[in-house]
Amino acid sequence: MTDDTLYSVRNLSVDYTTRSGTVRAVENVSLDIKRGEILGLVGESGCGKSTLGKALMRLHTGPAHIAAGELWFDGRDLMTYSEEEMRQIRGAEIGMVFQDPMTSLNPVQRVIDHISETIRTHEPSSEGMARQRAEELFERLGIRSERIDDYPHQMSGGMRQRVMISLALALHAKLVVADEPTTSLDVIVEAKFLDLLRELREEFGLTILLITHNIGVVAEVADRVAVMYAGHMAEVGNVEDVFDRPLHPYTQGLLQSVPNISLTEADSLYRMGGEPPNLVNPPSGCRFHPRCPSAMPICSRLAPHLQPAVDEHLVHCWLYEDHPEKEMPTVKVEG
Amino acid sequence: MATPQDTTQESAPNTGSWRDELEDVGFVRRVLISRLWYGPDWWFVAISAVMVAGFITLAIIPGAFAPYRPDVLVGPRFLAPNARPDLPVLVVGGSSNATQLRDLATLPGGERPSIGVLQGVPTAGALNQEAQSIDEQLKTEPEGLRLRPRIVRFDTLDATLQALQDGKLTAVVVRQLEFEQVAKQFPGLREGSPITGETATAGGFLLGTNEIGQDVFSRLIWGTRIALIIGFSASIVALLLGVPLGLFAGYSSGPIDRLLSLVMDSMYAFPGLILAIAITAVLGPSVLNVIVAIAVLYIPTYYRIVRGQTLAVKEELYVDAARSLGARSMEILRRYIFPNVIPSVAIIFSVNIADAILTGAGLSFLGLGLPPTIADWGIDLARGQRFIQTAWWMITFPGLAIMLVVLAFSMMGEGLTEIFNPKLRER
Repeated sequence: MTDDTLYSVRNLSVDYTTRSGTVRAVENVSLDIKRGEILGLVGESGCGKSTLGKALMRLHTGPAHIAAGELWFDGRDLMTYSEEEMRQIRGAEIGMVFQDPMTSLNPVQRVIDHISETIRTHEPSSEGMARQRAEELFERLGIRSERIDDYPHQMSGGMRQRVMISLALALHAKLVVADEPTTSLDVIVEAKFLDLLRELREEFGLTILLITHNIGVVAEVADRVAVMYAGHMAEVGNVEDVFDRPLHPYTQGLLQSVPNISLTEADSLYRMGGEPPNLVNPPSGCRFHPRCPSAMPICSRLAPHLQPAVDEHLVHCWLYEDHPEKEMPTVKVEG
Repeated sequence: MATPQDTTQESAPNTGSWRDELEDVGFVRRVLISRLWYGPDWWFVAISAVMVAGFITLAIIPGAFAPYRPDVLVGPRFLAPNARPDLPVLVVGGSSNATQLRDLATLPGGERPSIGVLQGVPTAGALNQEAQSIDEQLKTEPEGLRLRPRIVRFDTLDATLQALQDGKLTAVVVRQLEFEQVAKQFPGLREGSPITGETATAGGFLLGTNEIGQDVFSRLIWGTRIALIIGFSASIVALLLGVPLGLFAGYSSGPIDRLLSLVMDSMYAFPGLILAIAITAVLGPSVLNVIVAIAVLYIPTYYRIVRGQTLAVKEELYVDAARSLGARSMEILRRYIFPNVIPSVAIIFSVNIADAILTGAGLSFLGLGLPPTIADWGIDLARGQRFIQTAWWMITFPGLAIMLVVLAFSMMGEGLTEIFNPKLRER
């Protein structure tokens, strides 16, 4: 781990205990988040990207728990932290913005109370000081400061999502985990919100993990992108590298499945075969092999490793990894 | 990025519709405004509110409304509503100027007054008793008058009155209503006042009297106090115990939750009244014990609802969001879960008051709840049911009172719930 890495996830596994057995929603995932970057985390529904996002703050309760792995945040091993120490980190150093702005604010609490409570949970601060800080933040985020006394239901979705951001900014969090923040917003509000994220990154030196299933959003704002499939990290790299030259067959299929306004009637949208696997009984080896167009015999037996194919472009696929039992030659990617 | 232009658009001032105004108005205006969207049923709430306010006023100052204290024997037994008590009355000849028994007193040595009564009716006894007490009183006074009437018995009313008309008697004491029926046949006679001095009750009793001569109406009004005390206290005690337990169990949802739920469910499985009977039977009759018994009965109701709601609210995104901001568990319970659970508690509370009043009445009907000296509707019902064929008023009016007070609280509870929590209406 180098100094420009803010958060380093090492071999993380998250289990859900269900009636039908233990579901390993995230398996052996490693990911580095660099300081000041916007890292897009994409994948299908249920691939474990939100689970990973929550695991970064150790937010899991009830049936979910972190089974293995290390979480290094800013040089500290969060897995060794007590619940009380984690509470100090949450909100103050790592903030989270949730998918649905309509339900992520307490309906019976005024907006100002959300913000001042967050500030005062972590710092000794008077009501007046907290309010002043909240007003400054609102001004910065483009919400009139009179609206600070409103209840959440009096605000639009975009405004509420900005309030959620202000909660993360109120204590100058270093990392913001944004879990599908624009999914329930319309495209115009979405564009504004993404602009705002970019500006805040510059202004506050924020690092943002942007969890989304919207490839377009990632292409628009992210510096790097991580692709997840069925609890495995499939591919990680710079946005240009991954989108211009996707290496993992899943990423290739995913990018071809994105609807494009320039598609003519003759081009039909690519449709990936098969279904996402049931994680109670995941496929052996590489979890993508039943749907993979380039599957080899080894794919169903052993899982590949996430390793660099070229420079910082990491991929989790036997196509790019050597193994004595492999029948096909390893693909060499030119830098 | 939000330009100033779109900011104004998104945060446009409220258009002044009633829905937005609701945030800025006080209680009274909110209730008035609620009419607009509560629809044509608003009077339903209004009526129940008036009824509840009335019952509460009665409970606070029963003395201002009840003509008598609940425990004094004020009149004859089993007097029907609005019937006049058939009091023994003094009747004198037209020439006499006496109006009450006391006026017949004479100096010692003078001629003792002879007073005629009808044989076989209790008027003679009443006359004797009253004359003696007047005599006792006269002894202490300086005039030296005494009242020692000679009592002459007759077989028929006509004979009695005829004897008076003929001047053979000083006066007669007969039942007032009987005399009024035949008064026309004896124009020379004049009716004086009742001998027993119960002039205040001569007009009768609005709702009649019970088997020992207590005023049913007064007992009804005084009974409001104990009914509301039991209803409110039991519900509040149950709420104060059930809600925190439910919150805690729902939020922790571990072995403690399972244990608490088991205990509460087993309590819930008991038929309510039977459990209350068992508790009061053990604790003995007193107001406090009735409150405890009924409160214990309703704790599981609060517990179950609050626990269920807590389980649901706990999974809401805003609770996750609060945790992601580093909120403490206590804070999440207090500021996020509790306020979102409390509307359901309000509903149970209002229904519970009505229910607790009903259970309290049931307990005292069975003779288990309250000591019999207390004016209580349940006790009155129990006493009245023995005389249901002869004195229907004894059981009817307490029953009506229980029904009305339960109806008022249930109606108002539901009305207020819908006014203050329109979300529930939409469900």
